[in-house]
Amino acid sequence: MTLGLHHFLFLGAILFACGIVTVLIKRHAIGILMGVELMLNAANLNLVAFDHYTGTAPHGQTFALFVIVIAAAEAAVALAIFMNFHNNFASIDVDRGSELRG
Amino acid sequence: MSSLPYLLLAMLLLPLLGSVLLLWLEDRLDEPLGGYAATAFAAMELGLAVAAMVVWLQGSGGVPSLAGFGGLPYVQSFRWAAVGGQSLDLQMYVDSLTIVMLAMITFVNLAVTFYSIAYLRGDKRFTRFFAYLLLFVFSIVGLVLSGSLVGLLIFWELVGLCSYLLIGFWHEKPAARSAAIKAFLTNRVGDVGFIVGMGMFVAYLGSATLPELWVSSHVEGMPHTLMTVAGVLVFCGAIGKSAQFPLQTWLPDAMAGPTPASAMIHAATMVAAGVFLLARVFPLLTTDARLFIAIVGATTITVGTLCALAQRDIKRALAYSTMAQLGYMVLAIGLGSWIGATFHLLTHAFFKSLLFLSAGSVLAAMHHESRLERFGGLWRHLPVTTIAFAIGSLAMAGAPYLSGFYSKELIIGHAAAWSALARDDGRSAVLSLLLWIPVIAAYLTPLYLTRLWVLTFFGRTRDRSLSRHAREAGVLSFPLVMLSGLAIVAGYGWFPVRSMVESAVTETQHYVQAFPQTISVDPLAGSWPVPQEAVDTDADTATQPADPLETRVTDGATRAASLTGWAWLVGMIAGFAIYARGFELTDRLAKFVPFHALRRWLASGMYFDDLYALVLVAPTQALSWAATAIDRNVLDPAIDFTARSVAQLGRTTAYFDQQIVDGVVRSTAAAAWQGAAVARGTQGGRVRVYVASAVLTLALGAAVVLWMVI
Repeated sequence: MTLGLHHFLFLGAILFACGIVTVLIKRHAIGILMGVELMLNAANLNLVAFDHYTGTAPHGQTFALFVIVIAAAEAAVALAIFMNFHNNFASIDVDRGSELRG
Repeated sequence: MSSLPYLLLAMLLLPLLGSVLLLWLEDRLDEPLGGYAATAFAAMELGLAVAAMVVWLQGSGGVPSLAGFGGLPYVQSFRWAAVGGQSLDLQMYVDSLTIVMLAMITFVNLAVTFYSIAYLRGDKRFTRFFAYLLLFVFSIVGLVLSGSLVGLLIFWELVGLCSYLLIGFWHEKPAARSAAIKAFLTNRVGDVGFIVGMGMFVAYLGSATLPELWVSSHVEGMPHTLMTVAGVLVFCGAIGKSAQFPLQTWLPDAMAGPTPASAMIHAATMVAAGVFLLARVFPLLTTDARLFIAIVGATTITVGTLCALAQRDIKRALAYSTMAQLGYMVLAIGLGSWIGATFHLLTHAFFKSLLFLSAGSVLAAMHHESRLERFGGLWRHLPVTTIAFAIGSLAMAGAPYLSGFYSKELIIGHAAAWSALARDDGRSAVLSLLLWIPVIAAYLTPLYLTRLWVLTFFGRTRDRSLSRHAREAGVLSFPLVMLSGLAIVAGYGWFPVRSMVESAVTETQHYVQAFPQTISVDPLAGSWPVPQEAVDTDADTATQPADPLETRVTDGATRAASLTGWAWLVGMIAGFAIYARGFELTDRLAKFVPFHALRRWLASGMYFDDLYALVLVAPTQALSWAATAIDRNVLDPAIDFTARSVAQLGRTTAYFDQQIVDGVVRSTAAAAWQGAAVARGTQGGRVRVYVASAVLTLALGAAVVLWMVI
């Protein structure tokens, strides 16, 4: 049995689902950030897979590199936000941060 | 340029200024100071009046062309208002009558003001009384200076206002309150006539100023009947103000005011304003109007004299005597005795204010008791007052060589001449009553005055506890002495009263003849004595039977002297005979029922008050009761029903509003609220919910896209 495109797509889908579930169920901000990273990497996997199986020029890989760089920047911003969050609420449980009285 | 107009203007404005000042500083000028200030003003006023008289007697009276005593009046007109083509002018008309009236008013005012300082000692509205007196002086000076009907009316009403204020000065007393209102309302009745009559004259003759009216009533003419009616209507004003029959009832009640005010207003000056008005409009009065006036005057003499005989209150008795004397003046005007009326007005002012101030002096000594039965034997305690009252009584009774003698003889002489002329003309014999009433009253006048004097000062002391501490205040007697002097001399030929009044007649004639349109108008035609000059100038129109008229006047004077020459003595002897022992004789007579009834009838003022209560007050009250009943039972229910209907309608509308309009609004709001509650749930600030909904939406969208593609 050879590895086909669909194997990678399944793995990406599973990874993305795992990311979503992590974001949904985690209350810990770092956990949520990890879920987001999972989703980003699922997308990266898809990009690389499509590039490998269908593409003539290596555009997909280039995109994946961009995503990795942006993810790093995003993590930096997110961590800064979490620091502030922790300063204000003495916790990084995101449910604690709800100040709206809806 | 003469100083006369400035003097007169100062005379008019000074008391107004004083009055305003005293009212303004009422709280700061307490007890004696306000009185002293008012006395100073009164003295300045008298000084101005004397100065005006000196200027007047010296010369031109402001008119350069005719110099000397008996020249022209000083006249100055001011446009006041113009209605269409009709102009209403104010005018200052100054003749010798004005000048002598001003002197009389200011003199009496000074005496009264000075007297009041002592009389009103301790009164809680002390200063205000003097402010009112000064306001009154302003009004009467303005009245005397006025030469137009408009000005006369304005000051006439101001005088009435002052009278109201002073009668009701002690307004804590219900009697004073109701007397003030009564005087005011009674005067209004007459004033309505005055205004209507004035309107008729102005409408027909086209002017409100007296000289123009005098001339145009002769030149242009006005229907005789209308002129009679207008004259009688103007006379109605004088009926009210001078307390003539049938509006005389307010004067006795006016005695509820302080006695100095009674002396000033209700004896000497204000009530004489009616006579002054008649003297001014005299040329406008037709013979019929004059006859009416004479009859009213004679009726008033009858009522006043008879009622004065039975009064048991010294001030009310004097009030009725004032009424009778005013009747003399009005009768004199009616009979054409212009000089007699104005002369009597002036002499009466002196002796009547003297009598009132003497009565006030008695009242002050007797703790404001004014009933005669509590007096008696007071001459021991009040010697000056006794003599002053005697002088006043003698002057009024017409004892020779006192002022009243001259003026009363003049009036009765003219009445005798008039009735002789009426007999010559073959007129009704009833008209001779116009001679006989004043003659009989001349016998009764000394009788009631002697009665007052004897009951007050003479005989046994009837109330020992009251009179034990009676003491004469020296300050009170000083004005009495001043007025006694004038009550004696005012009638003498050398004293400028009679001569001034007589020159007023010639001044009027000269003035009117100087009018451009005048043909030959004698404004005082039909007045006595026939002025010599008027006869001379009308020599070419010799149809006027001047000589028989003059004979009649001379005969009349002789007849008057024979009829009433000794009346004062007869009346006094009768008075002493009846009242020497107090009320003993009359009380014994009163056991006889008709006499008792007569006495009660006269004491109550001939039941005029009861008559008016029955004829006027009761119907008015019945009318107001009926109006109230209609109001309560017809108008009120209708209005109530309307109100109730409106209220019911309002309630219905409110129900509709609350239930339906509000319901719509409320349910809209509630729906919005509930929608908001639902929407709010999604915006709860819970991050994971946001994420879940985003994922779900994305999934849903993807599903839809897939479903559409496949």
